[in-house]
Amino acid sequence: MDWWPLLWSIIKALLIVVFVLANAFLIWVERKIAGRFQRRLGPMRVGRPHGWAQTFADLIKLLSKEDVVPGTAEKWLFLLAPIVAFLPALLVYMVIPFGPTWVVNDLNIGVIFISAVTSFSVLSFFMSGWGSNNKYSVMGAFRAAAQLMSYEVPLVLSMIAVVMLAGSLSLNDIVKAQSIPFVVLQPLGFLTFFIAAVAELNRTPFDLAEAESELVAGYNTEYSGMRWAFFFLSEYANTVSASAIMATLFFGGWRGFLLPLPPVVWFLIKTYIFVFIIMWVRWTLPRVRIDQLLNLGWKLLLPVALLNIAWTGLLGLVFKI
Amino acid sequence: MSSIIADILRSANSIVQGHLVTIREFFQKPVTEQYPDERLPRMEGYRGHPTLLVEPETGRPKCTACGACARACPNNAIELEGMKAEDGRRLPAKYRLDMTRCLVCNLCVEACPFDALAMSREYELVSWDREGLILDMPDLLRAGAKEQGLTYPLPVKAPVVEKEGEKA
Amino acid sequence: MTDTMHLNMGPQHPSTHGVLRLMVEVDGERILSAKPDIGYLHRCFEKTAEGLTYPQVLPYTDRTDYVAAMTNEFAYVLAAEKLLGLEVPARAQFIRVIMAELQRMANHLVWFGTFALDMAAVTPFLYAFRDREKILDLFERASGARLTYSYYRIGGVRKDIDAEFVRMAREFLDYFENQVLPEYHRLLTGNRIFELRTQGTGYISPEQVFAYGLSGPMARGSGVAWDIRKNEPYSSYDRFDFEMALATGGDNYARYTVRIKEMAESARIIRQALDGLPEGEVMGKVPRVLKPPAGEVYVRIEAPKGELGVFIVSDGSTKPYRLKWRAPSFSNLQVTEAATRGEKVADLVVTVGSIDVVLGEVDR
Repeated sequence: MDWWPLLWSIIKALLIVVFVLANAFLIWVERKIAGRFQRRLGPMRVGRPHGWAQTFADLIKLLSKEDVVPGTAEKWLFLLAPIVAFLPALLVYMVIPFGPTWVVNDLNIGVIFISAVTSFSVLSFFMSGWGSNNKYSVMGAFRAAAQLMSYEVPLVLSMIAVVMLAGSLSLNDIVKAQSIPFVVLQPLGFLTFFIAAVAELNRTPFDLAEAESELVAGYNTEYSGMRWAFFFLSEYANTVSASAIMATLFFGGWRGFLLPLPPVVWFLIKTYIFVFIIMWVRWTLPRVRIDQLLNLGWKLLLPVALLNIAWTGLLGLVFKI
Repeated sequence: MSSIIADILRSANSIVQGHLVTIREFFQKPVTEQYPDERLPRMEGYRGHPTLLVEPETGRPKCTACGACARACPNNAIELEGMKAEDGRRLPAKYRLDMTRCLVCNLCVEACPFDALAMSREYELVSWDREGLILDMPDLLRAGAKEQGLTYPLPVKAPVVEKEGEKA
Repeated sequence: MTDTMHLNMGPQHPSTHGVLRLMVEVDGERILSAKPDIGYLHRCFEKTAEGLTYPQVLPYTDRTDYVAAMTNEFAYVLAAEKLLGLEVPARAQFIRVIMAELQRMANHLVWFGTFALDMAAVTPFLYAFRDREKILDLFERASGARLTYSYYRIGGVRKDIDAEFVRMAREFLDYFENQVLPEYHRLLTGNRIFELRTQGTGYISPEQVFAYGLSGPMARGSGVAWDIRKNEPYSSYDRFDFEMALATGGDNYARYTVRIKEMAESARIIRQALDGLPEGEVMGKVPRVLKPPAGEVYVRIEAPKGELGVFIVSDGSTKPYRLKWRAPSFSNLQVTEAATRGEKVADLVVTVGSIDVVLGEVDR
């Protein structure tokens, strides 16, 4: 039967689409998790048990809201920014290996593709911040630009160290090379990547572009309804994709240990553990200030990332990995 | 150099400590209540709104319409008029409490020389409209009787009062 | 030379603690000037008081600093009693101190939470409210209300406290000292990000403390040893053993440590007051109609936010001729501009948070 492989890949593709759409459920998950961290219950009303339908209620509410465009806004920048924010968040999933064969397109330059695509988010921040013609928004946009540019560097450097170990830019090859997870070989590299990734995601303690207590809502102050929801969804999609990349690069992706579970399940477990940790960080720490953030990026993470590359080179030299 | 590393380690430790606090709380029972479904018990002596108490024997208000409560009220929330009952005792003909003005300060209860007023234990003092917040004598007597463990009107003959109250 | 930008923070803004408006001039992220604009919550409290008899003013004082209603009443009844020359029974004095110190803890808990919230740490905020709720339970037990208590009376307090209240209070103090404070210290005090945000920002020098008339934790955070409970003991504060919380840093972190320490000291005072609670009446001999002689009186107490002063002019009638409310938040708020000049926008929010303003008290 030669139609079986085709059908199977269609099913896989659909499952990946479902996974991407399931990001919307993180709205509910995060509110529940935040509630528990704060000794609250979180949403309980819409859908029982435990308000599982909260996401649908939120989406219906947002869809039925008026699409407000401020009179003084740069119309096209303002309208396009949410889409520019959302697209890269989706594109990243193209190269992530969910399992040995579960990958949309295993590009041989996967790592470069990821860093190229994720850099687009700064564009959307700037478009929305500048386009809104609002003082808070533009301050958020400038902060986002400074922040994302300076954290891109340690992020890419720590990814390079992984590439050095695996000897390939393809994410699937990187997973296959991890007979021992790379986090064991380069814990510093993982920490750098984690901090830089949280900063790239614009989440507390690095949510300076939004900075509710200072800038109201930062770059998305003027957005409402579904356009705002696009920013919101892209944040969650980015959270999941960053977690997936962390699991892939440092924790052996779909490779399992001990329990004989399917590779996809292993991948999802690892990914969602990271999603949980990112939320845990968010609901624990206060926010840093812009100058402290840049200090951390340039004066600490960058040297550590370089040190990690040197360390990786040493590993390769001594153990011929 | 070593001081920088010590500082980094100390910072990392402080941040880890914070996370240990939150994760400990994560696995504990939430302290919040699902309000309309679950209700916290009210403390003894909780103050709701002022109510008029009734005489259990006759079913008439204890109030003699002396006006001390209205004078004590900082906001003029109480309006009342007196009348003379058939047996010669003074009774309120009209007693109106405007809850939009009431501060729930208890001064009226303290001012009453006949202990005819008491604070209720209601805390859901809401209404869809302004009129719902203006409590007339039957409302206040009903709430007061509830605090006394009675139902108003009492099953005894004293219908004069209520009629008058409604007329007002 | 670049153009500067005028930024209007408030009156509707997530972190202006009510309806404070800050007119900020910024150069990028740097603040050139930040002028507070107040008056959005003005309710004519002082003028209203002129039309009310002395007991009737009391519920209104609850509504000035609504986060610390007990201490407002405390200041007012002390002033009225001084004017009338009334004696207050010892038991009432002790109960007043217990309530005032519980209120100080509740106030500082709210402040702790909102201060952390200004730095986007949402979780400490909810922990603080969780613990404050237990104090409100105590107040509900004693006074019957959870926010605007109307509990103090000219000449005493409205209702005696019972054994159950004492038990609950002790239980709360144990919980507070053994669980709450250590948790806060682990969660926030030592946290590196918190230290970075608060240390060295919002500096106020001891000279500025005197120049701007700052009081309370704002003064003690800059090393000015001024606590009215110590310096001019009122009610029964001279009977209790406690330390004045003092820090010399003058920055936001110093004010934070002062307030955290003050909560622990308040717990100590409450313990002593509960142990030594005298028996007897809780209301002194008060005439039915309060008609003070003509004259004027000024009484100040150490409210959680600083020096709370009440000035009453009496013309011999049953109503005050003039009532002036010296609100600590109002005086403390003046320092905003001096404390934030040259800092970042993010520091402005933290510094205003450290002042602990309640706009109900600023505008009255």
